[in-house]
Amino acid sequence: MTAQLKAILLVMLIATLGLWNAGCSQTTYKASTYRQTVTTQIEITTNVPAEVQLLDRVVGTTPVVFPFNYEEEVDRHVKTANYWETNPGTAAALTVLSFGFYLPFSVIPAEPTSEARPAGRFVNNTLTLRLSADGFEPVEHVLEGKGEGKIILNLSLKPKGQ
Amino acid sequence: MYSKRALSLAFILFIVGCGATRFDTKLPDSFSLKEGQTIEFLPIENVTGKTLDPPADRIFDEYMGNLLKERKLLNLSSQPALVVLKSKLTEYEAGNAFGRWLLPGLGTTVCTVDAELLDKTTGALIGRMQSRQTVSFGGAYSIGADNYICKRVADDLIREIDKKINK
Repeated sequence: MTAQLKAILLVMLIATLGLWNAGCSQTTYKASTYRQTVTTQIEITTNVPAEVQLLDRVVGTTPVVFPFNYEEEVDRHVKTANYWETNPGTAAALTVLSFGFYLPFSVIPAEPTSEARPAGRFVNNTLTLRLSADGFEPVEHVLEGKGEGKIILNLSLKPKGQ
Repeated sequence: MYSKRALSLAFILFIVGCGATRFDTKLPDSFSLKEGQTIEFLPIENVTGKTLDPPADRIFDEYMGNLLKERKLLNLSSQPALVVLKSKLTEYEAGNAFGRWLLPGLGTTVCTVDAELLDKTTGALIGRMQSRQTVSFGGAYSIGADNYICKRVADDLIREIDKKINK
């Protein structure tokens, strides 16, 4: 190996390490927030058949199952990544095809990447239920959905006058 | 010898376009669309926080609408649709072909759509699909990616919906 080739390889190695370091120091930041729909199935059973009412409508008579729809906020995080992170196969192929010329440039963080992460913040996720049956005291129940697949409620209505 | 290979590589990079697809679906196996059942397609919501140039949202709407129409899935009648397709454009980068030619990854064109299928009657979530398409390297061949990238996303979504027809 000639001294000139060694010098070139050394420069390329230093450049690669430097740029790699620059790539690693890229920070992820929150670019935007949007909302996605969440549905939780609500299953209600009672000691006596009771009519279940929401603020705006009658759901049915217990036992009853109905969907409760609300929203969850999703944060989109972005960062610029190098091609090894996003397309390692192509980056390797390009490095080989270019006889290593591409290598120092390949670690430049150039490509935008993004990741959507549910934030755990819910919107319009409170539901007020009103249960009523003839001869029984009405019951009001407030529940909060937090992304559960199903919520099972077992409620008791007391006879009037007790 | 080396210069010829380098020139060949430069030429290949100049003409080709290359990108990646990331597709994620959470449509239940129990969901299917039978003959005559239709989809109510809501215009895509731009949640990128950016003004889109070119108007990727409108390009997506027009293309997706046509794909649904071709399959007779778009709800145009007075009969209620079975499901609602609600989409959000969560990420869009117009990118540029010169940047992609200069360095792979630079000038990447990106389109990400998060789509939900909702029950028309109850509003309940049936399933979710997310597609992210990128064109991240190439040269002249990749010119126009900013216009067609969201169409590729629509193709991903309709391919998934196709799997649910008459199952």
